[in-house]
Amino acid sequence: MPSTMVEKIIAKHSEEPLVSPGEYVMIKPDYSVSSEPKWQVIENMIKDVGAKGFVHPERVVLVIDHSCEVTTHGPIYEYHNLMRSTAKAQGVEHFYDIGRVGLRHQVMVEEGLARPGGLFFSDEGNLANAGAVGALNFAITYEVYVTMIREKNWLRVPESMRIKAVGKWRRGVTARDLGQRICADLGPVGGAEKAHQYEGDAVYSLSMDERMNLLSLHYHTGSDTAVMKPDALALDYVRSRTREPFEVVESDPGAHYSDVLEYNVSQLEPEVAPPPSPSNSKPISDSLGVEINEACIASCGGGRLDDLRAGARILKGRKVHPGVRMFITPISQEIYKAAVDEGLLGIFSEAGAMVLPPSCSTCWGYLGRMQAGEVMIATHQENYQGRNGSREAQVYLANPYVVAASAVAGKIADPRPLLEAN
Amino acid sequence: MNLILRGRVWKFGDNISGDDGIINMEVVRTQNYNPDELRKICMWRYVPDFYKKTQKGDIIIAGEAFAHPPHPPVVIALKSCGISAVIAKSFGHGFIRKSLNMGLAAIVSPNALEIGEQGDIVEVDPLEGEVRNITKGTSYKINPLPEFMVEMLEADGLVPYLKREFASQASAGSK
Repeated sequence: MPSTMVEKIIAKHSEEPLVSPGEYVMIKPDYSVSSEPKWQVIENMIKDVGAKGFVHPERVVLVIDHSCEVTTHGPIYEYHNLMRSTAKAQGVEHFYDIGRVGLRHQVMVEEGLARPGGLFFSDEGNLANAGAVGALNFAITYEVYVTMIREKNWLRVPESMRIKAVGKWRRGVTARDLGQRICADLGPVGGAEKAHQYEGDAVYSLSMDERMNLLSLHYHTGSDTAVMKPDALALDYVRSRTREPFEVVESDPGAHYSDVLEYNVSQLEPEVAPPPSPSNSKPISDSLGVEINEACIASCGGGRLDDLRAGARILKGRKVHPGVRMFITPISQEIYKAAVDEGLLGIFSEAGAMVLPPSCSTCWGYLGRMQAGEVMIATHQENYQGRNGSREAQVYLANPYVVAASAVAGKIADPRPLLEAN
Repeated sequence: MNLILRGRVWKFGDNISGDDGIINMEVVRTQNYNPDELRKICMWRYVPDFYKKTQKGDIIIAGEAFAHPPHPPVVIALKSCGISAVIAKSFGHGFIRKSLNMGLAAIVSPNALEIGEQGDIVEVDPLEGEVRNITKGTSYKINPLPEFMVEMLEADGLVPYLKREFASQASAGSK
């Protein structure tokens, strides 16, 4: 029976030769990935069920990435030592402490843990950036502990939906704009019990960074995961990271899909999503002129090297508006170093933006919080009420060109005239 | 092992809100997981005093997007009112996983609304994949759940199921 690549990868990790959407299967994942905010609760759950230890510590990935700066907001930095001691006691090789790699999304790809044909459980849907190397992320929040203490956990097989993008990317339009448009078109439940399969020459003309940004946005549609068949560019990336074997899995011709969405990116404008969610995204003209107080380039959906380069293109030779504070967070040490080597951090500093350490930082409101009545524009994942400080503050989501242009203008601004000038 | 869920039908339409209809935004914000408090507000938007009217074992049938969005107190509220199963055409994202893990049988079925009318007595056999309407004498096919899933439901959810597993491992002396 012809199967999609999602169905095939799930089958490979299950006891079945073939799986169908709607089926429940037991999965042995390659990895179980957790960050630190839920770690105390996870340890309590492990103790509560009577487990003694990790069955395969080499398959456990633990990362401190939310509270690396160790500030006073919330108690989660108290869990750092708990995670450290458990990692040591259980012999977890893949434990990434403060200063080591960065966000767990980057750990998975930069350390070569996400590989073509792979499947892992994690705590959040945005780890589907790993889909850019053909690996499946399934987010089960606290439940990641289950495959730390036993071999398998269950999964409901999603339907696959094809999302095909063709055309030429215009100046000032990025993968994020396509991602936000998809979030708006599908809405918060349009992808429920489904997996996004990305294809088309516009997807494959993207850099690895851009592919990861695009795939990381999928979960705002309620979907289970996102993936694309890895091409030569993706395989080169993987081979530069690991010598572990992998298998490129692709969908069979004639496989069944729930939907096919088609986009021509030549027709896309930069998008801006007013609060309260990415599903609220609209073309930029709807939000032009909104005055802002804060601008952020950050997050697992907008803090990669290409995002920093985009910000630098706009900020070079310009200043952040006096009414605006700007925060820029490279999401891994490797990205941070590349930004140094390319002179980007110097551009940011000269422009008056603050560069922050590789971490989740401003995205979840740990840093860069707002007061009542303030407005932010950011490359973050979420913009629900109260996310970034006061419940009476507002967050707009957009690509890094828009964020940087708005930071300069003091209000939401179209970056395209500035890019022409450059 | 043969899990049969039996109870009276509660019939709902499409788009029954989870966070803002089955429960309220206040309990979501305060992360209130207290079953005694949650049962009193359960279904506040749709059936006043729902908790006074339900019996243990009652079964909900519904249309599209049942319980969107579904923070965990949604499932706790339904269970605390005695609901043993929800059969719907589609669910809010995350509801199925949360429900099954908490011992509430959530089953997707395109024929959900044909199964019966408000108040009918039905029996749900998840292993067989069948719903029998005792009141009307009719029966319907639904997608069956695999044995491991029915075992987990019988144990009343993931945590009791795991506890049982680790307790028997400990007594058997294995890892």
